[in-house]
Amino acid sequence: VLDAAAEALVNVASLQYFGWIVLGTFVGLMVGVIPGLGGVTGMSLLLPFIFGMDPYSGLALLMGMAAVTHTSDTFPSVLIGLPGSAGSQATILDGYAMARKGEAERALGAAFTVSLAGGVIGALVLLATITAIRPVVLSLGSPELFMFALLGLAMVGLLTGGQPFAGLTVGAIGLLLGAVGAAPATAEYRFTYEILYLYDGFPIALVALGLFAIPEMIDLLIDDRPIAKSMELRGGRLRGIRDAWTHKFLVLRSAVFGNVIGVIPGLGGAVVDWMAYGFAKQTAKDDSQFGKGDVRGVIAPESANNAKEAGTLVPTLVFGIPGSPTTAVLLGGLLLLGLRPGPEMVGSQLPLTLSVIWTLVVANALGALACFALTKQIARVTTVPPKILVPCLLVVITIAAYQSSFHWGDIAVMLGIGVLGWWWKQVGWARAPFIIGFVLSTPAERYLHLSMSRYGLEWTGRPIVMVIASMIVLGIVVEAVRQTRRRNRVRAAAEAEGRSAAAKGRSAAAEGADHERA
Amino acid sequence: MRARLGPTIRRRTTRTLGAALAMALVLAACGNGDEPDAAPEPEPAEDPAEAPADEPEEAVDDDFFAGQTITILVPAAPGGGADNTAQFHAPYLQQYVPGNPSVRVEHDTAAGGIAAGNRYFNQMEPDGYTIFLSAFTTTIPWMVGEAEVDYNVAALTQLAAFPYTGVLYVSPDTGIESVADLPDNLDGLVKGGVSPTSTDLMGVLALEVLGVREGIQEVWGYGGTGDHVLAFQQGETNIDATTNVVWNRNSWMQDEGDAIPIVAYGFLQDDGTFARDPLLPDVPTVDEAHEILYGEPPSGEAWEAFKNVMAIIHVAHSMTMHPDAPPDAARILRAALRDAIENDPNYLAEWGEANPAEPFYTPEDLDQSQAAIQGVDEAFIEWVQTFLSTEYPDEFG
Repeated sequence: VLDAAAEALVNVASLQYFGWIVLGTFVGLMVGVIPGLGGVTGMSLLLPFIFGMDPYSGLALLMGMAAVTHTSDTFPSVLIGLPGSAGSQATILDGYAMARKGEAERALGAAFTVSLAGGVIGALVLLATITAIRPVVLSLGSPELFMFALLGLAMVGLLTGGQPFAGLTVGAIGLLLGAVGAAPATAEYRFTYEILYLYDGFPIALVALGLFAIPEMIDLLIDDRPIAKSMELRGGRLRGIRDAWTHKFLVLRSAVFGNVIGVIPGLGGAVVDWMAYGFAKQTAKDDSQFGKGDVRGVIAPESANNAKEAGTLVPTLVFGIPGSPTTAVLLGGLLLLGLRPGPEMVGSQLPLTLSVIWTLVVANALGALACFALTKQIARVTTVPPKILVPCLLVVITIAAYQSSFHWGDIAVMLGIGVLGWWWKQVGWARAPFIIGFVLSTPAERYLHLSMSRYGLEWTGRPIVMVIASMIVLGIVVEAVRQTRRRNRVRAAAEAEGRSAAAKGRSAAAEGADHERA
Repeated sequence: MRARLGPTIRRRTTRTLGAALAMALVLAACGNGDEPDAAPEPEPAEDPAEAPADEPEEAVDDDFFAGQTITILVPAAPGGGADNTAQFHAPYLQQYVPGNPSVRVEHDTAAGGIAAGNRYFNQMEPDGYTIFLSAFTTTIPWMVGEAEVDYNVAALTQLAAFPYTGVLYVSPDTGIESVADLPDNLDGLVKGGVSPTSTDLMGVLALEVLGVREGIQEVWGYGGTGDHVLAFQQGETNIDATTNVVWNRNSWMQDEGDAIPIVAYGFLQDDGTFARDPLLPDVPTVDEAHEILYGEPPSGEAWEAFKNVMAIIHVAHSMTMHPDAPPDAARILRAALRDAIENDPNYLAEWGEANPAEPFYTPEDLDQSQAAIQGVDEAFIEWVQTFLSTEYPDEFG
């Protein structure tokens, strides 16, 4: 494998393929930076052009694009609090908070560094495991996939922002809205009211835009102040790079996690950024600054979402099952290039697969460098007055929303979810549980149905199922203990403060009495 | 609701592809691309490609597409089989249609593709500049009579059809080596699928004809064809049925000894029997399998239903033109496609990489596939609907 890997690297380094990678990277950066457009749009855009190309060049173009959308989508997430693509919402929580404090450059510096690191780690993990990974994926049947969906849903508990009831409610509404459209296992259409548009359910890109972009734009207009009062002085980017180095184990852990979730077929990795964020928060000693501008809240999701792209290639290349919406289009591209996904891709076609992995590495490096170079200029957007900024953004995201199916329903859905999102933002309810419920609604239902229909209740005794189940239970218990302790600590602090205040009052009263007496 | 299947016409005789090809070459040499079929049966008037068949070729306005844009409307998402067919043909159309129009591919996945069918049939201007890629996502809902369908697949003028059929295969762990072993080894057989109202309908009816369907545990609800093929590889299921195209993509399973194809449905012939799938020449068709199991050819309602469903499936995946479009559009496009298929050395080589069967593209083949889809016997389609609603009340509402 090592020889083949070296050979593939030499191939990738040749001028022709490198040219295609650069072109793909450029397209990827463009669709990433525009809110509402992501890898799916990039793939659909490039697909007509790969016809007639040789497989190496075609894949260099497509994978160069896919590798970097999660690098450049950080710009809107951090700078204006709009998800640059559906996979970059978790970055908003802390990245945008940092931008408001004037630390935009630091957040971006950290984000691009770990995007690069995550992308490369993801590719290297894939490189090391690609030939051995088939049996692992084959051991994951419907019951295991259901448990992974449950594990994702359990993350809701970590992302409620200290309001468990609100978090569960929002998560449940997400599950319900995720159920709109054709049912996964029976011939039913749910909540469609004979409106043809609703038969396919709501597109995730629109839900993400509505939930995060619309409320932010409304609030920007109400406040009528630029996002950041003043830009911080020089050196923000370097500070971000240092942050990434300080938290190198978090970077590594999130990358491996993102990669693994990406490999699991059928889960799609659409909430991998939230899961990485939740894990970072749960394992942090002091998580009090999460959501208020903690750089770890930027590092974890950004590392994970770039690493995920390498992982989603496994089900696509080795099994012909797309691991994400982006790879669903990639699968079509593979067939157009005359390739057959299957074990051949890690057998006789291994050099091609390895060249794809190297493409990921090269494109991640190029993408991160380009973003670094542009940070200073693009970060200025935070000083633009909302009256100028918001109308421009509104036009961009409306067009982005409309291109998802060229139906007026797209815009209605985005605005409708936007109203919900704004309401939740006003009352301080976390919106992440909604996205998690929404995305995992269909897989959770589908794989539960398949497990029951195939195995009855027997599936609950399968070893991997039991391991994941204990992970979920453990996670919930740990988090419950933590939150109780924190509440006790807060109460104790409040009581202590109360006592001292009361004591002060008493002494003051005594003083007063003394005065009176005097 | 079934009335939209159009008049019931007996299916016209289907010649072998080779004969049709030779015939087409002769016709092409004569410079008359649209000779009406020799069979004297009347065609339904709604088919515009037939009406001007007697006009000489010179009447064709070659400038029809010059400076225009052809849109291929795909009722499915980018990346799927339907999209692949559209993307594959876009550059060929650009090259071979006189005037070299631009060609773009548009996707509309609303309502699983049904909305695209409705829009093409009822709302879009039938100006001849939009090709509808009729696919399983629109043909099967039409065939089983879903309420939202407001289009008539039988009325569309076929420009080229890409024939599909199906394959039934088992895991070697089942102890089954050929279809003869099937009835004795039903215990423990588990079959996965998306839904009985998808391409999986072929497998359901094939097993019904062979009298073994009820002995097999069926698990419905997989996300797509690829997902239940993966479930088969995982051992979650041990018998699976899929299309010839998907089988072709996964035929390594047979090479590696992970799967044994036991029935390959093949292609329906004029005598009501099936010709074997050229991809699997050693595997029996459904009628042959029935003879192996029971010593006589199949008969009865399930068999008739299976044949009618297969007649539709063979041409379910096709490029079509609106019935009210200017006749020139369909004629020029048919001629251009034939030109590409017959004269471009790349076409069949590249098409064959992912597709096991050659397209229907000669006027004779297209007339026959058109007649096949128009001639489907409503009574048996009704039988299929009753069968689905009694046998699969959960999966078929």
